Amino acid sequence: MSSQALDLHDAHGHDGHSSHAHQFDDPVQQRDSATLGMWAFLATEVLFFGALFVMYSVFRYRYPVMWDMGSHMLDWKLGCLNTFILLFSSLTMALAVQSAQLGKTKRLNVCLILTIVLAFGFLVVKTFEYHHKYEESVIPGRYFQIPPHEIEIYEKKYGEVFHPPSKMEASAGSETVYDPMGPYGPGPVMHDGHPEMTTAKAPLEPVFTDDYRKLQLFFALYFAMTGLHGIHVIIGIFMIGTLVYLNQKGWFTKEYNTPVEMTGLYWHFVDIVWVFLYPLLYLMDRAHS
Amino acid sequence: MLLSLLPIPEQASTQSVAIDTLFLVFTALVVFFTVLVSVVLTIFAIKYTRGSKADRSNPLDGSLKLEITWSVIPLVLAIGAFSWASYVYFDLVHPPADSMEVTVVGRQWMWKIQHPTGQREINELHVPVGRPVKLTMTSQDVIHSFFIPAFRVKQDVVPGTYSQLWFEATKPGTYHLFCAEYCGTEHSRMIGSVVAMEPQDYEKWLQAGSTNESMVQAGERLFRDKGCSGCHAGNSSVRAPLLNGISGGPVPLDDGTVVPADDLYLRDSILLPKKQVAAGFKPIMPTFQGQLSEEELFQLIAYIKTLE
Amino acid sequence: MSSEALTYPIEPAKAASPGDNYLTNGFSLKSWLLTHDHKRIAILYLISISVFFVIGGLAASLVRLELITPEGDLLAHETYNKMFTVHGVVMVFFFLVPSIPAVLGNFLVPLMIGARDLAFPRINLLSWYVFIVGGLFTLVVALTGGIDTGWTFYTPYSSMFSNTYVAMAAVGVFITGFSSILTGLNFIVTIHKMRAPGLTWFRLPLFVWGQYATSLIMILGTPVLASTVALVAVERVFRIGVFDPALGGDPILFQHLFWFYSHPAVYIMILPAMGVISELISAFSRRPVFGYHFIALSSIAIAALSFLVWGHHLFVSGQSPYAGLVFSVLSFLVAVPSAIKTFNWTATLYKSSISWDTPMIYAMGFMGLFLIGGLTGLYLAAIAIDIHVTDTYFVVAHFHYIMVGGAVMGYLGGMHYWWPKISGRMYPEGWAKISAVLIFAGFNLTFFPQFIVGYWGMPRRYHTYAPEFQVLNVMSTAGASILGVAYAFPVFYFLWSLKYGEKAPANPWGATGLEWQVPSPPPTVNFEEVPVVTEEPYQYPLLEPERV
Repeated sequence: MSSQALDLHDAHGHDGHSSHAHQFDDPVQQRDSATLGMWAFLATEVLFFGALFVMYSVFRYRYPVMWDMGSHMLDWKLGCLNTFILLFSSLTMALAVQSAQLGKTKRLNVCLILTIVLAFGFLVVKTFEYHHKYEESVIPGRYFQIPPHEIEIYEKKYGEVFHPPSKMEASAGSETVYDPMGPYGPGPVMHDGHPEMTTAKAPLEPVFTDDYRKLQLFFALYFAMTGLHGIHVIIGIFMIGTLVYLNQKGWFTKEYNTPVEMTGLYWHFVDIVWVFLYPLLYLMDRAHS
Repeated sequence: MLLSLLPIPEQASTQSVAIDTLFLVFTALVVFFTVLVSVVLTIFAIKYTRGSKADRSNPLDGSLKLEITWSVIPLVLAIGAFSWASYVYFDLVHPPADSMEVTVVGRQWMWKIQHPTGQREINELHVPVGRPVKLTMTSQDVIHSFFIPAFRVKQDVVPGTYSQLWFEATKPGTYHLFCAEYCGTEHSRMIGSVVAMEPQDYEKWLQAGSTNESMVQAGERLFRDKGCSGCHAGNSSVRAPLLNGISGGPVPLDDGTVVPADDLYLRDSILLPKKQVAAGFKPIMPTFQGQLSEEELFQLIAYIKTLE
Repeated sequence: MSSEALTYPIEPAKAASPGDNYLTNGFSLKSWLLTHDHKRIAILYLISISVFFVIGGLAASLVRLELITPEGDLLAHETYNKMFTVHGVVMVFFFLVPSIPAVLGNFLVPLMIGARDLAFPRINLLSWYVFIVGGLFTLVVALTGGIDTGWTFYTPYSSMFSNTYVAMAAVGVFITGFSSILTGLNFIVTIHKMRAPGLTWFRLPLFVWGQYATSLIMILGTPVLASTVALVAVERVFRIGVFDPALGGDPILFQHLFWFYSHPAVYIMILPAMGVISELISAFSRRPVFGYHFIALSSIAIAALSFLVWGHHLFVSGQSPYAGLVFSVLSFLVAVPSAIKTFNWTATLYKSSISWDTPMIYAMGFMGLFLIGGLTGLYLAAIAIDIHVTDTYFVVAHFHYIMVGGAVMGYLGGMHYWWPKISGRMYPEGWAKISAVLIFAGFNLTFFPQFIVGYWGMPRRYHTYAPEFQVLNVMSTAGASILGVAYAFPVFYFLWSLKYGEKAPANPWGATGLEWQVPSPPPTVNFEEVPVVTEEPYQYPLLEPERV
C-alpha cells in the first residue's frame, strides 16, 4: 500500500508546484481516487481474511470442545491488553488524520509517533504470547505438544480422557508395502493386472482424527490469523513511519494530506480485524466455563 | 437401432436410460439454439455484407419487447431443464431399501472391494443384474472417484468419511471402472471392471470363491477381539449403550439433538467416540483409532447393523 | 479497410510530430522497465504472457502427442502428470487471467475513457513486477522438477501426498494473485473516477463495462484463492492439516474455497472477451450495439452470479444434495445473461453493413464457439448429467470452448483490431484471415471430439486410456497440431508488421471510440486536451441504402 501513497506523491515529484499527479485533473479527483482505491483494497483484505474466518467457523462448528480448550490455553488478559493498545492506537491515528487536515504538522508528528509506539507495544505483547507458546511447544507441526497441566484442566472440566496423538504420524506417507494377500489371506477373486501396484504411499490405518490434532488445528488457525494480522501491523508501522519521514520533510498541508488519511483507513481496518479476532480466539467459549 | 447412430455409450443400468434421455433432450435444445443463432447470423452476414443491395432503412437500436422475449424464454427453459434434471437426480441419491450392500476402499492406486458374504476383490466388482447395489465407499489416502460410465454413475471417494453410490445393472457384461478424480502418479492405472452377471451366475461366482467368513462374521469376531463386547454386551458391568437395533434408527444425543444411526455415525462413534455421545451416557469410550483398518471398520459396522 | 471507413467524420488527430508517441519516448531498457505509462506496461504484459503462452502450449503439445496412443509410450506417468499441470497452471494463472485485462485493458481503458493514465500508474507497474516474480517461481518449479497436482491443487493429494514442488508453485500462484488484484483495483478506481467529462456510465464502451465487471471479480475472488493456496503451502511445510482429514481437516473445504475463486476466474477470462466482441461487432457492422444497456448490465449480472455457483464443481464430492440443487439452479441462471448477450450481438447485424476484416472473423468465430461452450455448460449445471460427465473429457471440452474458444478468440480478435493503435502498423490482412480460419477449424477438430469421448466416459488427466477412445483422441491431436501452427502465425506476422507493415492511420476502421481519436501509436500523454463526450457510444451514421 505504501506504493499507492507513492502514486499520490507524484504531485511532489514533478515540477514541484502542481498539487496533483499528472494523470488527474485536479486534487479533488486525486483524493477521491485514492479513497475509492483504499476502500476497494480493504474489500480485498476482507475477503483475504474472510477465507480464514470461514475455516475458523467450519472447524469451530465441528470441534467445539477443542475450540473451548484452545481458547482457554490463550491468555485473555494479554489479548485484552492488546485490544486496548490497538483501540488506543486507532484513536491516535484518527487524531493524526485530524491534525493533518487542520495543517497542524507538529501535532501530526506526535500522533503518528504515538501510533507507532502503540503498534510496537502490540507486537511486543504478541511476541510474549508467541514466545510462551513456543516454550510450551504449542506450535503446530512436527513438535506440537500440549502441556500436561492443560490436559489435566481439560479432563477435570469435561470428565473425559484427552485423546493423545495416534500412530498416524509414523505411518502416513511412509513407504508401506501392500500385500495383495492382505492381513486376511487371499481374497477369492483377484484381478490379475496389478503387479506394479504393490507399493504405495499410504497409511494402513483408517483415516480419522483425535483431540490432539483438532487442538493443533485450532492453533494452526490461531497462528495463521494472528500472524497475518501481525504482518499487517508491521506493514502499518512501515507506512506510518514513512508518513513521519515525509511529514518532517514538510509534505503535508491542510490541502494535501491524502496519504495520512489513507493510512488512517488502513490502520482502522487492522484494528477492526483484531476486534474480531480477539473475541473469536480468546473469549468465544469462556461463557460456559 | 437409432441409438447406435448417436454417440451414446452402452446403457447397462436403470439410471442410464433416464440420464441419456435427459442428455439427448438437452442436446436437442443445444442444437436448436446453435442452429437458430447460426442460421440467423449467416443470413445477416450474407445479406448485410458491405456493398450488398439490402434494405437498410429504419434500423433498430434496441427493443424492450425483444429483450424480454429472449430473457424470459431462456429463463423458462432453464428452470424447466433444472426441474427435470433434479427429478432424475433424486433417484440417484436415494438407494432402494433392499439394496445389496458392497463396501469399497480406494487407495493409491487400486480399488478394494468386499461383498457381504465376505468375498474380496481388487479392481473388479461382480454384481447381479436386476438387483440394486449400494456401494459404501471410503479412501485410505487421497480423494478418488468411483466411475462406471456404462451405468452413468460417479461418486467421489473421500478419506475420513463415507460416500454412497447405487445402481441397478440391467445387462450382463463387463464394463469399465475408472477412477475419475486425479489421485497421483498412476491415476490412469486405477482402473478395473464391473462384471454384471445373471443372478444365478452371480450365486455361482460367490460359491466358487472360497471365503472364511462373511462380513458379518468377521465383524462379530472383531466385536469380540477388540473388546467391544466387554462394554456393549447386555451382561456388561460398564454402562454403555446396547447396540441392538440401533442401526438406521434415531439416536438421541446428550446435546439434545437426534441423529440417524447411519454407517457414518457408527464409524465416527468407533473412531471419534466423543463426537456424538448418546444421551444418558458418559463419554468414556476410548477411541479405536489406529486399531482397525477401513475394511475392518466396514465389517464391524456390518455386524452392528445385524444386531436386533 | 474500406473507402467508407474514411468518410466517417472524426476529429482529425492532432498533427503530432512523427516521433512523438509512447513507443519512441525513450529507447533504453530502463525507460521500459521503470515506465509508468499504462501503454508501455501493456506491452510488457504482452511480451510476458506471450512467453507463458508458448510454455503452456508446449506442455499441451506433449500431452496431446502422448494421447495419440492408449499406452503411455512417450512420457512416463510422472512426466505426463507434470505436463498437464504445467499446462493448466501456466495457461490459467499466467496467460488467460491476465490476457485481455492486463494487455488490452491496460492499453485501452484510459484511452477509451479519455484519461491520461490509470489512476495509480506505479501500482500498475508494480503489478507487472509482482506478476513476473510469481511467474519466475512457477518457471523455476517447472524447470527444476515440476508439480503434478493438476492446476486445481486438490487436497489432500497436494498437501500431503505429492512429492513434487507444490509449495513453491502455490507461492507462485499466491504472488501472481496480487498482480491481478492490483490491476483490478486500478481499473475500478480509474473507471469510477477518471472518465472524461460527459462520459456517463451508459456512454462507456462495452469493453470498459466488461473490464469493470472483471475487476470486481478480481478484487473479491482472488484474495480467497491467495489465502487458500497459501495454507496449502503452509500445510506442506508444517503439516497442520487444515485440509487433510487424517489430521482433522477437511479436503472438501479446500474445494469450496478454491472454486469460490476459480469459477469466477473463468468469468475473469470470458467477460473481457465479451467486451471485445461487442466492440468488434459494432465497428465492423457499423451499427450501434443492439440493446446496449442489456449487454452492459448482463456483464455485471454474470459477475454477481459467478460468486454463487462454485458448488457445481462439487456435485460428486459428497456435498449435501440440497446444496447441490441450489448451486444447480443458480448455475442454470447464468444462461440468461449469456443468452441476452448472444441474441443482442446477433441482432446488431440486422440492417448493418458488415466488412469482413480479420477482427470480424474472430468475432464470428467467438460467437460460434461461445454458443457451443456456453450451451454445454447447461449439461454441467444439471446434476444428473454432471454426475456422469464431470471429471471426464466432456468437461475438458466445455471449458476449452469457453476459455480458448471464447477468451482466446476474443483476445486475438482484439489484438488484431487494436494492433494498428498499439503498434502504429497494419498487420497483413491475408495471413491474418488464413490463420483466423485455421484457428477456428483446428480448435473445433481438437475439442469437439472431446465432448464425445467424454460422454463415452474417458476421464480427464488420464495418461493411458482404453483403446476404444483412440480414434477420437487421434482426431483431437490432429486438430491440436493445426491449432499449434495457426497460433504461431500471428506471432510472426505481428512481429513482421512492426517493421514492414503499412503505417496505420489514427482510425483505420473508421470506428467510434475515444481511442481512435488519438494518433496511432498514441502519444505518451494520450490526450493533449481532455476530450469532451457529447453522445452515446457507437454512433455510426445511419446507413442509407443509396450510400452503400
